Amino acid sequence: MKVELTVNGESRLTEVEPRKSLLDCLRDNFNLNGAHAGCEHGVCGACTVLVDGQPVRSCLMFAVQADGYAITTIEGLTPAPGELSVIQDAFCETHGMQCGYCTPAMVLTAHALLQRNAAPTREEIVESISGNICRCTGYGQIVEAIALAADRLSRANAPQGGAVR
Amino acid sequence: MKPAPFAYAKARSVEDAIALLAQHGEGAKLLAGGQSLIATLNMRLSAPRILIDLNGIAGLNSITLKGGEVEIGAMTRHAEIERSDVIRKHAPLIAMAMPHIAHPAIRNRGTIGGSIAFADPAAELPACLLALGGLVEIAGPKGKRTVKADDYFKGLYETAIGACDMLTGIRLPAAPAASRYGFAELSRRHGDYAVAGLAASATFASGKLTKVRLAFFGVDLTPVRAKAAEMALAGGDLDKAVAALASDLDPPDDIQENGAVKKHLAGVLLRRVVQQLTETRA
Amino acid sequence: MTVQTKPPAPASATDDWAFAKFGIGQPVPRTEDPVLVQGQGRYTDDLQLPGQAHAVVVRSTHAHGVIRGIDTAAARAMPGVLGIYTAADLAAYGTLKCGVPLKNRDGSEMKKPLRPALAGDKVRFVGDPVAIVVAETLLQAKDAAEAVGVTIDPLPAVTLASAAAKPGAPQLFEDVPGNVALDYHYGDSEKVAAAFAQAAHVTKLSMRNTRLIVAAMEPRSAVGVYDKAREHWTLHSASQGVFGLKGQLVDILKAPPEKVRILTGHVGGSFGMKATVYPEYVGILHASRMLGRPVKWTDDRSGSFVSDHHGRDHEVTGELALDKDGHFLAVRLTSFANMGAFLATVGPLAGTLNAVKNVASVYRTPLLEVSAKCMFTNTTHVSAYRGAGRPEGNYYMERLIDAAATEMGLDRLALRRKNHIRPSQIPYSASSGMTYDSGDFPAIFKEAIDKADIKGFAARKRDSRKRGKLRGLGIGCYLEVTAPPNKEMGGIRFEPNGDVTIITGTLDYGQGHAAPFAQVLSAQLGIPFHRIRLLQGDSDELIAGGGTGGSRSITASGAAIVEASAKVIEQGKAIASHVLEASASDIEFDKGRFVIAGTDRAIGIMELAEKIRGGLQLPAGEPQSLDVKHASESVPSAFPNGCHVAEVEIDPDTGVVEVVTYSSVNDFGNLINPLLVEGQVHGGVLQGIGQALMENVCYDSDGQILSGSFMDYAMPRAHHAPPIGFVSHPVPAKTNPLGTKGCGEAGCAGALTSVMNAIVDALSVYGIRHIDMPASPARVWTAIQAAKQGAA
Repeated sequence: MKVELTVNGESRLTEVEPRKSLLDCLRDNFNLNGAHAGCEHGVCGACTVLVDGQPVRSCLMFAVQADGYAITTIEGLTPAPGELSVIQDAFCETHGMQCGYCTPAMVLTAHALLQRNAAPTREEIVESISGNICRCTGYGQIVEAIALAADRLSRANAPQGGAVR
Repeated sequence: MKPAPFAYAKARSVEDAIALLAQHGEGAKLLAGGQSLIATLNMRLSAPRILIDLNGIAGLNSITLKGGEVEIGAMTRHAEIERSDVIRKHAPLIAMAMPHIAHPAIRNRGTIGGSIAFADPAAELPACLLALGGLVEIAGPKGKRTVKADDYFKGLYETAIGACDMLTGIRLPAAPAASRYGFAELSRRHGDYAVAGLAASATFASGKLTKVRLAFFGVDLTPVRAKAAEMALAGGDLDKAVAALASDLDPPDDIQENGAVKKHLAGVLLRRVVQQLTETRA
Repeated sequence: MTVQTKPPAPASATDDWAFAKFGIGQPVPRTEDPVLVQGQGRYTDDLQLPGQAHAVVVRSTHAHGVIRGIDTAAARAMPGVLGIYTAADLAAYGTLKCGVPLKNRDGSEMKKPLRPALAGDKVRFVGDPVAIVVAETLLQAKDAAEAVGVTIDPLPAVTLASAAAKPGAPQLFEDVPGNVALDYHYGDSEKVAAAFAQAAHVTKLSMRNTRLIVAAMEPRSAVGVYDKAREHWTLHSASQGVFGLKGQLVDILKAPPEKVRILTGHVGGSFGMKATVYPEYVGILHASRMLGRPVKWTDDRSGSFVSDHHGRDHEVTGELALDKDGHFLAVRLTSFANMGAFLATVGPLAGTLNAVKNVASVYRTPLLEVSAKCMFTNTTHVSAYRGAGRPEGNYYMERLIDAAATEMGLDRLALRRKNHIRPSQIPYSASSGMTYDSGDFPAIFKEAIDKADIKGFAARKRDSRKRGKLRGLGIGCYLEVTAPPNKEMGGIRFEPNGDVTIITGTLDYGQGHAAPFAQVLSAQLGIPFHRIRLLQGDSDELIAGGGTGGSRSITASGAAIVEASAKVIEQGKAIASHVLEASASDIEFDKGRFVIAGTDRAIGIMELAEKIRGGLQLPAGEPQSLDVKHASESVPSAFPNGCHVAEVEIDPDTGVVEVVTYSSVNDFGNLINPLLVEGQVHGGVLQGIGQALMENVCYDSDGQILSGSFMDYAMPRAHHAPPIGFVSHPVPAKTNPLGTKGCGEAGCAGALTSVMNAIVDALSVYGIRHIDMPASPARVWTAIQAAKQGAA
């Protein structure tokens, strides 16, 4: 079937079998490899992308279902080549990743959280990433990264806040 | 973990979906949020010939308060329900259950209709429907009908929905002033399916519980009412109610727990939920 | 809202500030992170080679049985199918081998049945690969694989090691009577028996060390490429080091070493699991040779549950003999270790030699005996998982100590203090045969006790009680024998673009080697941190390499880099002598500069490299470049140690356990990069908590795996992680140039012990003295009920 998907703000036409997951379509058809297959049964969250700004398992959605939605992958979060978002930068600074396999999904999930809730509590951060399994970090430095990013973003947005670039 | 091949049709309306079901018969499956279905397809535990996608049908994702009832369209996503003021105010039991349903990303896609239609015995929403004595709206080749929650659950993953039927929405009595709700579940990890859970509604006035409805989940092939315990609670005797669970429930062993432990856990849940039902409101 | 990716500020070689910021001991963020955090990591499955075909493996659905036939006709006729290969097609290749050189207690050789890549006559576990299907697309391969008909006559199966040892148990191999692969023994039985006979008290516990799924988040994946013209094999695959993997593959392919190349990109976690050759790699390399195209295979999660090796799975009886004052006299472990259906490359190690090395831990234990029967069962093979015997050994000891304290009415802190090896006794010859070179166990213990505020525990326990919860505190001391000795490469190459490349045979699968190795090199040679690159995943570049495992990387590669740096300096002095027109013997190397002693005439190492690149003419017989390819001799094992303290709350009505506080004091020797070390501890602790509380592989009586998906196999999620206190108390190792000890596996050792001891402490009100892992709600609640009934 032909599908037209809007990925990272760009409209893209491709041909897929109905059974092709959004995840496989992003990886195989569009060469967007930042979404990772971790379990393909909806438990680990490594395949998370944003659908209309909300985190969704791309292994539990078919590509043919995704037309009409705005899909954001990790490749769409990077502001420009050579630049990182505040959240991405915070993950680097706090050692919020080890093998990096779950990381794009964690960053996207954090991005959606901070869009909705600029000053999350530790509990809210933990709840937001509760559907994303990380086998390496023990989560502590991920939680720290998200808290750091929230802090920086809120200070940047505050009237007297110093500019964060 | 790739599904077997299937054909795909996007239903344009409820009538369209039902016509497609009639056309394709048993090889067809309806696709709502897909958060359970697609996992089973990926594991090839299920291999329908055609998937009928309901996500393009307009008008099925709504939450409205009408004539003393909260109506929720079948395709309303858990996340929308979670953030709904109408739900918080008029169907607080549903709001209490929401954080227990899987994880945020699943709730962004999963639908209440899908959950009620799939009727996983360890899922939260079917039990809430039962505890609230809600109604299920079903459309079929012969038109629409309404089924009471008490008559809806038939067996393991079996409901009043026929082969060519589609669940279009649920109706819940809007919470009256003296109503109380309780919800508790035990799961291996937060967000997992319940080892045992309890959704309850009641009226609490002058220190007495009346109109008690207890719906346990994760303890049988369907969510189940504990009617003897309900009566005991209405009689003001919690210990008797807990003891009554011995006759109300007969949990089979499953991979997580044996039946005897589940029965005990049901008693623990009942005590905790009764606490919620009777605690003084702030 | 954006920030620039921040390459470390450029610094000249003499910039002291830069040295300080990127020096040894600084928490330097990882250089690979900006790539990974953008989703630009290149994991094996991300490779799309031109002409690439896709493979799917057909696996046995029976745990044990005789293969009567494999019908591929229908599958071959399906769209896109390029080839289907079975055991007969792979007959010319060698078999997968176990590399553990242990012997039976009677001195005879252990049994090492050959494992061909595909099962031919018999299947021995659910998941045993029987055929490989290759097609144009993955979906086509998947559909065709479903159409392959495998006829198996089922045989009875056995999944528990102790059950496999019983008379009448199903036999996996005709030439392995009683399913015993190895009957291992260590120690002087007579002396140990005498110590037990004389002991004032003997504590005995039967302990199950649960079988675990490794569950790296990235499933295994590989691409096989055969170049017919060159008769050359390339395997793209995750690994823990390409040198060892290549050695194995050379043996299996029966190819000359120069005809085999392994390439490893980013690796999405491994924890011991991706280190070795797996059957699928042989299958796709063969398919590539047959088809003349690259062939990719990527496991799916349900496949990885049965095809990746599992971890742990020991049934152990532990005994501790004490004198009347509580001094340890001897420890004895008698165990069954489950090997699964085949011996993995290092499969037998965890339950045998590594149990010996690690059980005595930080305690004076004059005598030690370990007997372990390594058993074949109809299960997935078992091998290294984070610690590979180290956390297990420590766990047995710490449980025995707590049980002994309870039984003898002694304070568990005092009992530990009494038996700690004192700094004055170091170097200490342990009964394991190891000599501890360094350590201050009493001081670390004291610091851990203070940090955990053990004095305040009684008040916290009362507070928990008010909320209806039982609270327990557990102590877990550990000492691990890390860095299994192996040669390691230290290559240093000055690149045409001015960068300097470190080439070494360890390989990080998440640890982050680039920054700390660069910190080490920068400190040795004064090369600016930001000019240093790490090359680790290309076997063509390596002359040696022990790979990453056993917490060895910083110790082994660190030493190799230090030694290689010394060679660079020697070469640099010779070359600089021509530039500076002085005798090489008059040139000193100081902070990145070659200086004529006693003068201010000097040239920086980067400047010298630039001159060489510019065509500096050097006489024959002199070094022509600064580049070094060095292979270090084995660095001795190191002995990281520490003490972790956990507190748990238990809901007695449901058995639900929560780890509520966690603190740790650790001696990893010198820390090169404390930020990364802390991450290693966090990760290890949570994996330990996972084993302690929830992880468990279950089989039914037919040998079917019941916990075969992430729904059924529970791993910790974010809310299972308590804030983890981390303190470094370094006592530098004396046996390697950097004084490091290794930190990758310690978290697991600390967590298993402290969390399980805390749980038993909380349950001690019921008289419970031991509970096995995982302390799931069902198991805890059932134990409480049993104890209540027993008491009634």
